[in-house]
Order: sequence, then structure tokens, then C-alpha cells
Amino acid sequence: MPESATTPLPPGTSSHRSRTPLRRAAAVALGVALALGCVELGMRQVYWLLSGRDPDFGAIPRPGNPVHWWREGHGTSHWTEHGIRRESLPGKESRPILAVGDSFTEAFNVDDDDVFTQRLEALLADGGIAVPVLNAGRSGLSPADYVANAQRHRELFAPRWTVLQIRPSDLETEGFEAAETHFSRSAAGVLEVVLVKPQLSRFNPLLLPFRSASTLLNYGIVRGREYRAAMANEPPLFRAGSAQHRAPPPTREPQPMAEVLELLTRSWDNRVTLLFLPDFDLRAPQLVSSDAERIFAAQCAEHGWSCVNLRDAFPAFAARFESPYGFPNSEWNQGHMNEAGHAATAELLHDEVARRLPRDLL
Amino acid sequence: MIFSSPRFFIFLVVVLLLLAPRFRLRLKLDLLLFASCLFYAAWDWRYLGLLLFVSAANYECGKRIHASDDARTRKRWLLASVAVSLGTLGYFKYTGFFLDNLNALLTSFGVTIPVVSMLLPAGISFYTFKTMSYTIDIYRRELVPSRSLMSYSTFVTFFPELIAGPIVRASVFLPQMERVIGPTRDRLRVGASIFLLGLTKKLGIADRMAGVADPIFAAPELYAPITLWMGALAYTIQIYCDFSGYSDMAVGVSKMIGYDLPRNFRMPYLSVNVAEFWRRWHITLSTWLRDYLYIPLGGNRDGRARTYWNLMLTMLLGGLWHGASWNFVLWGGLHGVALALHRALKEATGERKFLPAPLAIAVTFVFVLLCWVPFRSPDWATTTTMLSRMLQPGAAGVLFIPYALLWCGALLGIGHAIGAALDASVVRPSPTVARWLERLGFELRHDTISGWYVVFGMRTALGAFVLTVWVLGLYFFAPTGTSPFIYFQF
Repeated sequence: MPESATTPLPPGTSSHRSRTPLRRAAAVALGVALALGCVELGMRQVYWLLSGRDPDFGAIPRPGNPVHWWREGHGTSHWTEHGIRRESLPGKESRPILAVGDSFTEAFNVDDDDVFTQRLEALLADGGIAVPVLNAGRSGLSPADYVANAQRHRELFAPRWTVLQIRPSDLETEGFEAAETHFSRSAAGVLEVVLVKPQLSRFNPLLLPFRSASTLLNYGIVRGREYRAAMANEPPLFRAGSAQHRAPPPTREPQPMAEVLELLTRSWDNRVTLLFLPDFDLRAPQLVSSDAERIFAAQCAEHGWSCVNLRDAFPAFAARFESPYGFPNSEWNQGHMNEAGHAATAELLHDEVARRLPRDLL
Repeated sequence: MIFSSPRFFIFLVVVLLLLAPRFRLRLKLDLLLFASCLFYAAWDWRYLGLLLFVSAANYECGKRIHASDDARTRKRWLLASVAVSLGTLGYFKYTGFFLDNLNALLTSFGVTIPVVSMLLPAGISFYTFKTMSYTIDIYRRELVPSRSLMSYSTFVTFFPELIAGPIVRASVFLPQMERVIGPTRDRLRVGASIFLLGLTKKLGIADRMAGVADPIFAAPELYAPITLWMGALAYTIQIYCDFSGYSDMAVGVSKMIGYDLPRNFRMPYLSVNVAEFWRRWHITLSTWLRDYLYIPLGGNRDGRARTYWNLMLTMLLGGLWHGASWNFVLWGGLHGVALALHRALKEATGERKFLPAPLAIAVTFVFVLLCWVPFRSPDWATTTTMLSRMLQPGAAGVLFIPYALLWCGALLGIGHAIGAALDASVVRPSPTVARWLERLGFELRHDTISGWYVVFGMRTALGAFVLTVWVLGLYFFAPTGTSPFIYFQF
């Protein structure tokens, strides 16, 4: 059977206009350049995150540049020196409350006014307590980083109180990943932090100026990494369809979660509130589902630490059929905290801080 | 190794490079057979033997049917061929289902038959239908057998459509095997364009919609009725874009190699009734069921009651073909009832139309959407919870409006509208749409097997602009995890 012939287009619509190769190449180059320009402008509304480097804390959002984030949620955030989410730093004499955490505290997903640190500051101000709340959240950090950074944070900001945000995975796995700063037991059996500097590729310094100039390139590299990670998760060739062939997840030694919590509070001179963000299950909002949370609750009770668990707000969420996590442009009850989650967190923290205020804070 | 995974791109490039030199056709076909076997083995090498056995058995049966003039001998070999194909399908796909149901009946007698769980060989439903149509066509003297076992095996195992169709008939494919294959500039451009459209449907829409539908179908009791409707709508969009995206990718890859595959979808959600829906949805399956099941059962030749029965039986078996579950039987049954009702109404009133076209499209769409609920639900309980809560407007639950549903729905609507405008005439598409597409840098192509399709152009500034924005949009917004195609499970 011969190859099927192409039916000609209606008269006057032929796309085969005669052009010299040079003119055609110029037209194509123009089209591509225009497309790149348009996509660049569009992407700046969706993902605009310029990286800066802090000598102490590594990669931070570049001070003075707002971050636009539409990947999950929709937020515009402002950042200043040392990776603090704020237009400008208050004077040292203000003795702020410092909030340390990961992407849940960093919260690119919500606007400045909605993030729990800003809401906490407003709630305190409403009660006549004028104290700045500094947000030092950064994606990818774990409790090991919080311990490692404690000294420097205290030197820089002299906080009167600190909020340390923890999730179950922080205690179960993320504080123990050998590729990043992690907890480890010394020869003497003491739990300590092993510092791991992030491995930057040789091209990174070369690319940095271009990445700063173009979100197309910057986000393109981020997406490339995501695709590479997804590829690594694909089942190996010749085993793709067979569920039985997949290797079982490696069994892990139980992590010394209680010791981690002790180390955390100790490294901040016990002037901390531990903020725990558990997973939310609408069907059983009060059911504690992880060992990490059980240990967290037990340690808080045993040591009398200042602790806040977002689970306390879960029954109210369940009654309203809402979740503190997820966004309309991602998934319900998945991913980071939404505006309602931040509001509930701020209220719980406010109650706790206000309760602690006479004793510890002043 | 699924079409949307990076590994497949490497595989495809290697195959195209191997087919590019001017080797003898026989050698190229052997290379293609080897590549197809490798592609299948990448899923699970253990079932490659089964695939080759079914191919060899049907090839032999076809040869013997053709060689004999004795009606009884011909019938015997046909039965042998059907027994091999259906026996394989039945054993691997329905043994567990049959034993589960038998055990449910025998429980009251205190008897239990142990059920061995088996991995379903990929593409078994598709390649058994291909092999069956081959021998039946030879039996009907509508087809001459393939020249050699190697050629026939190349047809059966042809990797672009091996796992999830389109179900290509030998009468369409075998004549094309005389043609010189291998990538040419034009084939690559056309094939890559169709592939990119399919990839966009899969990654840009279907996988996004999976993120909406999956959590809702996982716990329907949590959600408010409007959210459940959105979940069902998301799945309605997902299954179309997933399956038609796969079909487009299969057509695109085949075109790069040098073969034309039949069209599998024709804007199904613009159907004005269920009968039309089945002329637009999974066309290669519905025509297969019509030609090899409905018509042999008697079709509409033996009176009204018999016609309705034939329709019902065809759709029930069509439902069961999708999977060994009562949910699929219910799905097929609902469509069977709707087809019978539509036929009865048509017979009673002639060609008179009861509803204006937009309303008829909306009614058909809602019916199809409701039928997808049992199709998607993992079990009977989910089906009943979903459907009962969808029909309780006041029920309390999570109200969640996913943005992705809005823009994916809009994209699907635009795609259907353009497709309908192109399809308005078989001979030539609407000049206005053609001109409009041409201005955007696209080019229209047509072939007798695949129908009309749109090819990206890189000859004008606007064409380069559109293609660049399209590719970048897909790169930036597609979900990164490679999720399997829905029809792989069938």
C-alpha cells in the first residue's frame, strides 16, 4: 500500500509560500526569540525566585527581590538579609521572636500578611505586645540544620524566644539524610550534628548571573532536576510492569527522636516553642498517627517544654470540612499549609506565647 | 517503558537510527520485530514467550484456514485459533474474577477454592483481538495470510500500539508492510507533531486531572456533592486525554517509522446520543465489537427483541473486556441499556430530533460522565457512595474547586471545537478554521487511515513562536512523575 497522500488545503491557504532559506531562518529565529521573551515575562508571575548567597546560611532568596510563587498556592513574599522574610530587619534592640523551620515556615505559597509569623506579630500587637516576629524558614532544612544554625541565629538576632517548626518526617527521616547536614552519633555515643556543605556543580558559578537574569533558565534548571529525580524513581528496565519485582523500601533503624528534641531545645537554651505540624485526616482529626508525634507529645509533657501542636486545631477544621493543607491549584490536604492553616497556627502560637510571656519572654 | 517516560525517548531514537539506513526491507522488519520484543520485555520479559506463542499459533491457524477448501477443516482451525486467543485472555484475565465469584457462591457450603493471583500480561486484551480478527478475516476470505511468521509477528508485536491499541486489523496493517520504512524528514515532522499533541494530552491534561480525580475517588464519603461531580468530570477529561493521548502518540511513532494507524477518537464528548458516542470513542474497539461480535450474533437482522439483546450482550462483553470486575460489567450494561433505548426511540419516532443539539450533547455528556463513575471506582462500595452522594445536593462534605479542572476543561473544549470544525467535512475541513490554523503556523494533513491531523510548522515566525511556547509550556507545567496510561491495565 503506498503511503497516504496529503490532501491539499483549500485554495489560498497554502503554507508553502516561497521564501529564501535565509529569510525563513530569520523568521524562525524571530518567532523563537519572541516566544522566549513572552514565556519569560509570563513565568515571572508564576515563578520568580532570585537566589542570593549568605555566608552563614547558603542559598537564600536575594534580599530586596520579591518572590512570586504560583506553583502551589499563590504568594508574593519579600526577603531581606540572612534569609529573613520581611521588607527590612528591625533593630537589634527589639529582641524579636525568631521562627525557624523549613518550607512550611518559609511559605512561598501565601502572601506576606498570611504567613503565620506575620499573623502572630499582628495578634501580639493587638494585645499590646510590640515584638517583631522574624521568619527564618528555608526549604529543605531539617532539625539538624536548626541545631547547626542556632549559634549564628542567636548572634545575629538575639531572639528573646524562638519557634522551631517540626514535621513528622523531620524526626523520622529528614534529619538523618547523610547527603545533607544530619544527626549522627559520635564514638562516645553522643548525638551530634554533622555539617554537610551543599555540593554545587562546576557550572553553578558560571550560570548564576544568567539564572539571576532569567527565570526561564532558573526554573528550567529546577524543572530539569525534578524530571531527573522522577526518572530515578522509575522502575528499572525489564521490571517495569511487575509490582512484585520492586525492591521493598529499606528498613530503617528507629531514630533517636527524643534525643533530637532534647538537642534542639538545648541548643536554643530552652527558650523555644516547638511547633509540630502533623498530617491531617478529616475522618480522624484527633488520631495521632505517627511515632514522631507520640514521642513529641511525651517529651513535651515530661520536660514541660513549650509545645504547640497544630492537631489542636484539627477538630475545628474537620467540623468545617476544611484542611490546613493544600491549595486550589494543587491538591486538597496535600503539600504546604494554606492561609487557613497559617491562621490557625498563628492563633495557637499566640495563645502559647501569651501564656508563657510573663514567665519566660520578658 | 511508557511513551511519556524519558527512557522511551532514548529507545525511540535508537530504533529510528537503526531504521534510517537503506537496509533491505526484510532486515528492517526484523529489526522492528526485535525492537518490539525488547519494548515488551522491558515491561516483563516472562510474558514475551506468551506473546510470541499466541502469534505463532494464530499464524499457523490462519495459514491452514487459507490452505483448505473444506468448510469443516476451515472451521476447526478457526475454532482452534479463537480458543488459543480467548483461552489465553480468559486464563490470565478472568480466572481470578471467576474463582472469586465462585467462592462467594460456595462460601455458604463451606467450600473455598484457592485463588492464585496472576500478573496480567501487558496488552493481552489488545493483541488477542488483533490475532482473532486476523484469522476470522482469513476465514471470511477477506484477507490473505501474511507471507511469513516473521512478518506476522512484526504486525502482532508492533510496539507503538502493542500495549493499548489502537486495535489495528491485519487488513489495514499487512499491506503497509510492503512499503519502505524508516524515518524521513517529512515522516519525522508529521510523526513528532502528532506525538507532541498526544504528549500534551497525557502530561498536560490527563496527569493533572488524575491529581484531581484520584483523591476524590479514594474517599468519596468526605466530599460535598459538587466536589464529587468535579471528581467525576476530572476523570471524564482524564480518561479521554489519557487514552486518546496514548493513541496519538502511537499514531505519531508509527508515522515516524512509516506506518499509518487508524484513528481511535473523534471528539467523543460532542456526541448528540450514545450511539454516536460509540462511533467516536475507542473507534477501533467499537468497530471490532460490531464486526466480530454484534453482527455475527445477528445484529439487527432478527427482530427488535433480538437486536436489543445483541446490543446489550455486546456492551456487557465490551465492559468485561475492559477488566474482570462487576464495575466494568455495570458500565457496559448502562451503555447497552442506553443504546437499546436510543434505538427503540429512533424506531418509534423516526429521525425526529427531540432536543436541540447543544442540549442533546449536554445530556449525552452527563450520561457518559455518570457511567465513568463505576468504570473508575476501585470497588462496588465506592461506586454506590459516589453515585448516591452525587445525587444528594444537600450532603455535607469538603468543598474543593481545583483550578486545574477549569483550564483543562477549557483546553478540552477548544480541542474538541477545533477537531469538530476540521471534521465537519470528510473531504476538506472548514476553510475558515484551516486558514486560522495556518496563520498560527500549523499545517493540515490528511490520510485515508488516520484522517485529518494538525502538524506544527517551523517555517514562519508565528509557527516557531507557537511551537516554542507549546514545548516550553509543557516542560514547565507537566507533572514530573510518569504515571502509567489507564488502558495499560486492560
